[in-house]
Amino acid sequence: MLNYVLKRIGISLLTVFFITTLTYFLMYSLPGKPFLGDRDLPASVIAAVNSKYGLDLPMHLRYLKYLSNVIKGDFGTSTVYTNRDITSIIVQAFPVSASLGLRALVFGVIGGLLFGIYSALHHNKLGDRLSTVAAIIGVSIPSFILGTMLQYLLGVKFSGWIKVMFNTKYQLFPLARWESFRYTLIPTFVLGLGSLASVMRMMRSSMLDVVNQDYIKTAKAKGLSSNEITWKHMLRNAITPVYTVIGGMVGVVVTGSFVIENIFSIPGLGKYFVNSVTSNDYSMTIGLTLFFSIFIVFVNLIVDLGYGLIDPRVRLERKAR
Amino acid sequence: MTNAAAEERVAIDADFTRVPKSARRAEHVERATISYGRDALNRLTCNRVALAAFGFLVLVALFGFAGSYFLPNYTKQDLYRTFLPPGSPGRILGTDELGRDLLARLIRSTKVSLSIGLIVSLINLVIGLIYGGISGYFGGMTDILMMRFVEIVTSIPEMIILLLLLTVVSNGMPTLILALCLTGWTGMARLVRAQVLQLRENEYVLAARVLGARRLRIILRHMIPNALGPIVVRFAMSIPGVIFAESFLSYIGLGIAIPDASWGNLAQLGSNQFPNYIWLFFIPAILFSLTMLAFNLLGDGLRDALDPKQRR
Amino acid sequence: MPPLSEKSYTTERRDYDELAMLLLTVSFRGKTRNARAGAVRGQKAQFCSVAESATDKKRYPHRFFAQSIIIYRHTERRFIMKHLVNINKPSKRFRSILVLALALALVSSSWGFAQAASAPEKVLNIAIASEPSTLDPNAGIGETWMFTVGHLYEPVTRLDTSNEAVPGSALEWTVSDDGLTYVFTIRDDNGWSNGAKATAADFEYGVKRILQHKSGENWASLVFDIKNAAQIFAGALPVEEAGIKAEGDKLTITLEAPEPYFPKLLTFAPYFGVNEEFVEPTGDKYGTEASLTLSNGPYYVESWIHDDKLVFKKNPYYWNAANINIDTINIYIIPDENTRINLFQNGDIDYVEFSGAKKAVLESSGIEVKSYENGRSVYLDANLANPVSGNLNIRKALSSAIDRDIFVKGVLKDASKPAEGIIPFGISGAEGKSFRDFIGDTLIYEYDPEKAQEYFQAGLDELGLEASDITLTLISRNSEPYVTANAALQEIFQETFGIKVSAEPLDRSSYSARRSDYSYDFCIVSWGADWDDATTFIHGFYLPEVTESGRTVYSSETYNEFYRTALFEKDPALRQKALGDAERVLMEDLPRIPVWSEGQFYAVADRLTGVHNRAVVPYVDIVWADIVQ
Repeated sequence: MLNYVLKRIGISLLTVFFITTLTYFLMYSLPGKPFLGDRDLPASVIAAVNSKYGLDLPMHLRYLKYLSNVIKGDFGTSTVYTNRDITSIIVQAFPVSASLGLRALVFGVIGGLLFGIYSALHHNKLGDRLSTVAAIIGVSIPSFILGTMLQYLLGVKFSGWIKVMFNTKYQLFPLARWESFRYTLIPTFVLGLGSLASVMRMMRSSMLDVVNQDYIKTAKAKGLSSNEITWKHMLRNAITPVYTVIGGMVGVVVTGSFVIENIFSIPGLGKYFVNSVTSNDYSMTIGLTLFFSIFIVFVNLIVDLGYGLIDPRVRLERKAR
Repeated sequence: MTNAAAEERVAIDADFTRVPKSARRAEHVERATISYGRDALNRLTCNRVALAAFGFLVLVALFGFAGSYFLPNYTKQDLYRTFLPPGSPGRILGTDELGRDLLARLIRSTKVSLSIGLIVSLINLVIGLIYGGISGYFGGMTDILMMRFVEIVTSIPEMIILLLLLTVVSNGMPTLILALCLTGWTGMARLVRAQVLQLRENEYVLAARVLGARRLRIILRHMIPNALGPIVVRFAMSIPGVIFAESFLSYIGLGIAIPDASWGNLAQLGSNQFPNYIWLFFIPAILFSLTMLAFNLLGDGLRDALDPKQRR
Repeated sequence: MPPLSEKSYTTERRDYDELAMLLLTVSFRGKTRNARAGAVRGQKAQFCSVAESATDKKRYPHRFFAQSIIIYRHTERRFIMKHLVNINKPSKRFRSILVLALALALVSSSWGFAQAASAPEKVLNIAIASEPSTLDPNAGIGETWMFTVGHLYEPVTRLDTSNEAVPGSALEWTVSDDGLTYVFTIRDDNGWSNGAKATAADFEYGVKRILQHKSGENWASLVFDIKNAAQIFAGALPVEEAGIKAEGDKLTITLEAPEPYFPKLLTFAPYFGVNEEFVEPTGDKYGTEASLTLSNGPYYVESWIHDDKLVFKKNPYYWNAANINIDTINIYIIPDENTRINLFQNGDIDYVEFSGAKKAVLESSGIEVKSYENGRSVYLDANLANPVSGNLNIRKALSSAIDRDIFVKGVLKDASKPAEGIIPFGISGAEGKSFRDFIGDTLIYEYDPEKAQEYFQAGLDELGLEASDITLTLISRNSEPYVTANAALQEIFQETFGIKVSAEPLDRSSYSARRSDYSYDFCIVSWGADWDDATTFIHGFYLPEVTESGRTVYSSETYNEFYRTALFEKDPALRQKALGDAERVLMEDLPRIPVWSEGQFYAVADRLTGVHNRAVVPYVDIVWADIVQ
């Protein structure tokens, strides 16, 4: 097991290094320069700005300096947000993204598991049919379309109707920003729906697989109550394949939140990332890419290791090797 | 031969017809043989939902590819007729902020998005077949090294790399296709490798070999049909995934560059015109979502048909 | 919560009551968000107050109910339940009364006790489209930066409502006869928001920060008007040689060349002062957080949640604080235009700016839409080094091909106007008129499709080319309305002349790179005024030095002659006339083809008065604004 853990950590570190280097050199090859407006600037001014962002050093020196800074936890300074370090931006904005992501994951995973179990237990009945159709629709609508639609339908139309109906100024579904619980409803739903649908589909098929297994027949034959069979025998076995899906979902949720944060003006890291990409704030793009990569690689590592802990079969297999 | 025995023979002959030795068809099954493909097709045609989805996709494809012959000019502006509502004379779906015909742009975007989905999935399929095939066929050290590389590529967050690549290269269909392929091939490669490995060890392959079947026959009659199912299903399922990624990138302004159109940037431009001209958003968004739905339904249907073990 | 002592009872209770009433009035005005923030802070106080009012409810029954409503409205129910338990063992009777009050509050959501209010805090809510890049006045970039720092700092001079430079931090100033030396007397009654005294030295330090590469390198060329500044910045001279000196309350500024508009230039942020004692320890992080920012202007930053919200509070040490009416400005950062409009319609923000497409929506909901000239001139900047764009006849042809009226109505659909010259509307001129009104239309090559073809043919003959040989690269920023304008111009030029136009909307850094490498034929530039004078748009054409890359730049002896006259002319009207003549020369030679002069639609809530929109920084001036009930 220890061997396996070390190997996984090694691969993760390698990946992070690979991403850092790739990102750095990709960004280095960009044609852009820090934005200085339309003024014709004297050479001395351009030189001063370049030296401020370290653009006057040769490439390999910049790269080495960058690597050593990253190891120290310094991701550099933004070129758009004058003088602000990326580390402080991450510290401020990541909790918001994490909160959105976690809400969406919890909503998606719990909802998905419940619907999946329900569907499998009522196989081919009306409830199953309905939720399967709903799930397939859920995976078919892109989050940015669903987000924009709901923002309009619930935030503008429905809330407007409520306001007229009850003669109040209370905005039931706020259009944007991130303040209290009610602000989180639509973004969480939109971001979590895709995960919900895929967890549900996975859970349903995994449960149906288990239903036909011999040990379930044995359990039935032993005269266990159907509740006991469902929760003790089926669920534990069915959930293992779903676990991998959930692990892989973290990355999807993080990147999915980019566009949701933009639509709903949520001050999270995804919004910064997309903005930095579209405004060519290189140091920000590099810094955030690195941060996201480390985060996702780290989460995947934990998921992988957790998989080994959850499923005894995986453990045995590795010992046998 | 004794008399009694001969009499008995005659008696039997009277009751039964003798089958000549040459015409003996001991292994013959009276029911007509149904090939794997026909069986799959039968199952698919029985699935009305999947058929309807397939029909819808054919219509969408016709709309996109044939439509562009009728309305090829999707960039033509008419600054005097901007924001015409749907149903205007000569502009069935209305016009956008520059007076461009929404129908023509919708056709163009359908063509672009579908082509990208198909082309990227096909390229990924080819790369996957070759890479996975080599890895699985040779096994050993080659396999370990090749799979280690796949592992590193997959552990790189896909969307982040896509965003990075597209920041660096200029927008456009070829670069977008390249970027989507760079990150998308690993899934197919893993699947193909797993299939090859599994098939190599399978009993029926062994049996066929024992019976003296030639290698080509084993590959054509046993391995390919058995591996085909999951691969086709994965291929069909990957198309909507690619279109998703493409539209996402175009939506945030990194995919297909304006004035060219794809579902993503059409929806993005439409959402800018909220709430006055909502059809500019809703028309492309609904077509997009329905197409995705059809792809997913067809994918499910194909899986049921081609991969009977997975059937629910 | 400890019970209030008998002694402090009366005074404290009055405070609590006032707080509660204030929150109540605010809430009845629909300011739920702010009241909510207040409610959380004042929670304990309110409950205390409620508890006491409950014992005294015979005397103040309405107050008690009103306060209960506030609590109901602004805290979640579970919160109330929690506090009900926490309140000093409230009697059963109290509880039942509170529950009754809550029930009453539920029934009537518009309880009319607002009349009982004392003077409420004046809170203004506005939304801006993007985060200010920093609050360091010497460094940032972008319109939201200019807007925010314009309200946080007190420049040497300020623009009054008729756009004249009036004393700000300065009490008065004198200028030497050669127009080179200005002496400003800095007032001694202005203070920084931490209580420190604002002095002349602050202004010297601000400019020297830039010259010493401590901050604001990007604005350096703007302070090069000061004597020796360029050499100091390049490291050729020590910083002590700079033509800016503070002695006591006198700030002396010596210029390289006379600039009659210099007092107006001082209203631009890079010339603002900062407090050396505060700034030095923060290094280059000054202005990146609320706690790292200090103000000597009407407002200071109380809090700054990045990319979300800024809270400005009235600066008590500001010299003119008595005349500042608004106590708090909440600035929300909302990039999405639709969201901003919805917030405005909902009464959550009091001021909103929007593009032309949204005008109809707002008007249909009964909101009065206004507009102002924001002092941006949009033109096609020609790359004179390229043969095609360097050909005068081709430029005349392009200028004559654009029907600017249709362009503004059909493409932009906003408050912009067709250009009448390179200088936009809204820039001050003379005799109380704007420059455009004073000078009139100077555009020579107006829309004329027939002449356009003639010029084009002449240009082709000069170049020895066919129309089909020509491909023009037209670059622009990738934001609206420039993307749309780019696409529209592409179509116009292609249709009119049968040439090929490659329209390239670029992100900001690719745009910067292409601009500095001169790899384009025409570039759509939107140039905003740095100071309120025509010179801000055309000073670059005066005696341009040959660039180091050896690029062909526009240069005209006639132009220089007129411009020089304007520099030394003392009479404002004659000076503006000379600038108008200079502009006409540019319109004949067309180094830039003006297309439109930007205008901005906006709407103001009824309760907000005194907002002054300008063509120059800070565009929306709310220093003199007030909230009327």
